[in-house]
Amino acid sequence: MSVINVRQALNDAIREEMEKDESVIIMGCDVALRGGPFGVTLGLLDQFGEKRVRDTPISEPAFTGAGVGAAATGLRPIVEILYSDWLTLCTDQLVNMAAKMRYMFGGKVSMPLVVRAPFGAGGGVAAQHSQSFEAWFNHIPGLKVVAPITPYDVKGILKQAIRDDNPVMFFEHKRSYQIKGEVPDNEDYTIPFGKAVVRREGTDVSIISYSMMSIRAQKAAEELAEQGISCEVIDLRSILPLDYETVMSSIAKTNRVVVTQEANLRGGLASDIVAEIIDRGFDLLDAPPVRVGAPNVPMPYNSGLEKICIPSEENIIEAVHKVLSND
Amino acid sequence: MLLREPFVEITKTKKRGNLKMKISKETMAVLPDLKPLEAPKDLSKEKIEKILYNMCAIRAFDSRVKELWMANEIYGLAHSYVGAEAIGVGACEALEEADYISSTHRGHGHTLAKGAPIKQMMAELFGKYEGLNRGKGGSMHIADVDIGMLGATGIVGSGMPIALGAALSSDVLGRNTVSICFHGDGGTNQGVWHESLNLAAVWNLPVVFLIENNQYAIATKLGRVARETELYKRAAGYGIEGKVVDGFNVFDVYKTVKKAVDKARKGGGPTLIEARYMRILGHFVADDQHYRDPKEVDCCWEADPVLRIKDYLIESGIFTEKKVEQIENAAKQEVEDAIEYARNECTEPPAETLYDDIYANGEVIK
Amino acid sequence: MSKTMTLPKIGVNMTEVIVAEWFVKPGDFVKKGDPIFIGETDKASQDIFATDTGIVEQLLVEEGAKVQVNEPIMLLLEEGEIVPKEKPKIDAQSGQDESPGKEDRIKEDKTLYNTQKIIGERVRISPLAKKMAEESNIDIKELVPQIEGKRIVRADVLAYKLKMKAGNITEQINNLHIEDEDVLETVRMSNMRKVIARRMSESNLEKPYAALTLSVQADEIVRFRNRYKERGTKISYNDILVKIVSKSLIEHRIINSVLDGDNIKILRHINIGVAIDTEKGLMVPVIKDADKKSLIEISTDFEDKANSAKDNKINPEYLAGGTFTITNLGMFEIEQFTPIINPPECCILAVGAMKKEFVPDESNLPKLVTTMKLTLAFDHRIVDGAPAAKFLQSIKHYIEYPEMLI
Repeated sequence: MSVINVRQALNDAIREEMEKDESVIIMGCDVALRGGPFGVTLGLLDQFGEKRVRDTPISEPAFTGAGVGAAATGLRPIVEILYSDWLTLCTDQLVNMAAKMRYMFGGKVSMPLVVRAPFGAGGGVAAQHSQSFEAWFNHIPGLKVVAPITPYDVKGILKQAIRDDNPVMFFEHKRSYQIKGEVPDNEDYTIPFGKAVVRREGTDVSIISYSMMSIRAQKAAEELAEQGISCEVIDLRSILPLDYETVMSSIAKTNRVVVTQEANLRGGLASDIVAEIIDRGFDLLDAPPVRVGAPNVPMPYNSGLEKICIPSEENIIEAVHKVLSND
Repeated sequence: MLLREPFVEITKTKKRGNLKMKISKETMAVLPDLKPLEAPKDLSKEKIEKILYNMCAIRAFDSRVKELWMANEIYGLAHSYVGAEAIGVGACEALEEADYISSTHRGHGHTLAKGAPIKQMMAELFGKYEGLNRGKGGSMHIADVDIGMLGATGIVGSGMPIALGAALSSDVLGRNTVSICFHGDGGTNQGVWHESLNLAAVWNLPVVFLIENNQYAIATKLGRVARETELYKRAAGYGIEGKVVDGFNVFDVYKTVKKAVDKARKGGGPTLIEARYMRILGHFVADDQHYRDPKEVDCCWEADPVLRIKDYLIESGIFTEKKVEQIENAAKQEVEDAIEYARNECTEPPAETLYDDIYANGEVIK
Repeated sequence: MSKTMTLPKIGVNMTEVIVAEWFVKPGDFVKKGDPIFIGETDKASQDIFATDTGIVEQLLVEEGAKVQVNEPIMLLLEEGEIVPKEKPKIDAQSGQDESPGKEDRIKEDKTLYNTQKIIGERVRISPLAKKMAEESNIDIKELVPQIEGKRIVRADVLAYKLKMKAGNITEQINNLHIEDEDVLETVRMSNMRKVIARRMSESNLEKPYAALTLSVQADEIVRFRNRYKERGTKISYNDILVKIVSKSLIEHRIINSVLDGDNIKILRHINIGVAIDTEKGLMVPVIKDADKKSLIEISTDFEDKANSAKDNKINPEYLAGGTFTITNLGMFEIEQFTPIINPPECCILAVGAMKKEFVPDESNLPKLVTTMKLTLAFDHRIVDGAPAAKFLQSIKHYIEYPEMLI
């Protein structure tokens, strides 16, 4: 076991997969020479050469689409869109081609594409660099969507994504690169999609979370424990497919649920999850499910305002109190 | 719904065109890029027969598709390739089997020219399970990925990066294949077109960008949406070669595309080729073209590529009239057989197949 | 120009206080050194004094809220400056009666449709609680939330069920899952049966149950009874036991009592019931004032009552008013059993069958004796083990030395 950070875990995952399989390539702005603005792809150009590690011009539609076409014709490309906010530029290729080619073309197309798109808020980077669009891609049949946060999960899930023959939206959190965690040495492990993990067991309320919110939820749960409230915290890791079995088993135990997201509340993933929970287990609920999300505003620059716009441990604690209040 | 153009009988003919071009003055004014046909020396008789066969087959296919659409046996959207046969067939003839093409919404011609089985194509248009796409794509998404035809798509410009991607695979895996990106004049104004040309150029990828310039983006004439209507000239902006060819002339297309494909295969990078023609029929099967000058349309009929090649082959003595007729009839017959097959021998996709092929390896996520 | 006054540090270890009560309000003139509010720490309350002079423009901390040292507590204006008019209090429909501060303005203001006023006759109950209520045949209108005005939840249903369980057992029968085809015969519970069932359940539910057993040598009362028999008088062992128990009860009056709330009421009369098995089921005819009756009187009384009971002709009055019960299953060869106390009595005595046994005598040589086991079940709320044991021992004493009854 070693303790490494998320950035290193990503780097290791990509490198190991590129070593294993010659058809894995990676492209995006600044991924080659500079090693990525977040340092995720450091060293890859030297090891694998220009053909497989490519710096692209600022042409998201073209190079994402090239990734789609390459995936359809024998490569396993990883496309990096530096900020997930810019997915708007290449959404056409992802939604209308990558997600649908296999279906439209009689099942004869393979689409082993991974799109890495750092998401999440913080650091004063303001409205166009702080968004989370997992809800949009959750809506598209044909895609898979994942959002792991711990180094162990990040490595295992990215490897799985690269080996998956479907287009995968891999949402790493842009503020998570320094998060440390244990990762086994010399072990070629992957983590299957659609399997959530219970980060903390509890009996009073289930908190459903993913990515950075799962870390905040665990902190909130610790504080709530001192107030005598026992929280079960679930880290989904995989959004599409989503592990409803774990979610519902937890709710069967606690009968109350809080669903969290970092994105602004309206139209977000939490709403879909809550609707599914009600669909699957209305009679398990002893209280209406509570969602935690950001206010419906574009992310402001000012740090005080930004703080209000990023759901915090306090927001989660408040939500847990609300779901327990029977009001 | 007013449909002006009649169903065109292929053999209805008033002899036009010969070894030297006999095209009326009016038509020359409308279509100044017409050139006389001349079969290249390196093309064998078998290949020429195949070219003629494919062009006749496409003509028969899309003419019959229109009828079937009006009778509601084929539904949804269908875009006819009538009038553009020379481009699809000429370009695909320059490719090897392993090479790739990407397409537009006007995909029947590309698919057939690349070598897809006509029976399964027709079955797909009928929405049958035995169709190329298992009934899930229809005309709009017709594809035969196994033979390198990477699918028809309704988003203008979406095929461009796909062709780029195929070239990228070839480059990385050392396959030595070339991709042709078929697209229209309308697509050249998409941002992704410029990006794709630039990216292909800077990465020196083996892709040929082939503009099927029929001068109309649905109802909008090119001059109204682009200042520089000589589209091949745009190549200069990306540092690559630009060529223009007579889109009604299958051999002209073939020659230029072959040169570009060979160049790309040798590592010479991308080329931009503009195949200039004019759309004869409406944008899609129910378009009555009320926005067009009917005289213009008549001129196009004079330049009909199928007619031109038939006449040329007979007049140049490459084939006898009987042989030409025989080939044409065989093509028509194959289309009829395909319709028979699709109508009577094929099955509707069962409801259970709804969730098939969304994900790999039979995975279903509801 | 407003200036901010912050919370001064008054104690060495003071970091924060709760504002218990303000002495000033906007518009008041405050001089440095004036007390402005009562601050509470977890050790004490103390006055907090102004560190500046001026007119109060705005109080920044609400009563009941915590404030840290050096945090702003109020805004002051210079003398002569105009105090801005207090913002009007907006009386919103869902109970907000304060002018919205910055915090509230960024909170969501959704109209909630959860208030009782809006939902009218519908019961506010969670889906889980509703399902539980349905499964237990509870009318949701009977349910009450633990805190008024809140939604009825699972805990409330469980509380109701617990209450019900103590009061009425028949509800629970509905939850059995037995297939019809597995039932050989269905015997409807008679009213008597239902009463027995209810009373037994109540007894077990309410009383902290304890039981003591001892063995007695019954040879003496066997002889005793035989002597009566020789004289032509038939008495039963139950008769003898009634007499013995009544004597013991005089000596241990605490056993002859009932629990009424927090009071142990020791009863005047010693009415001993003897459990008998009839066609209709268990009945307990009571021999009133058994201590004042002679053995023969007890015997006659019991025989009459038992016969009437068996013929189902007994006067209900004779089944009531017992203060102690004896139950004897010796005739069924039962050696020992744990009886259920007959509420509201304190104790019950179970008598087992007599059997011949070898026991060691004074020289540890085997001696053949007739033994019998007695089990006394008692309500531990009224008596503890030791007094109960003493009572039982006195019964044993009289059984082994019946001549002491005289």
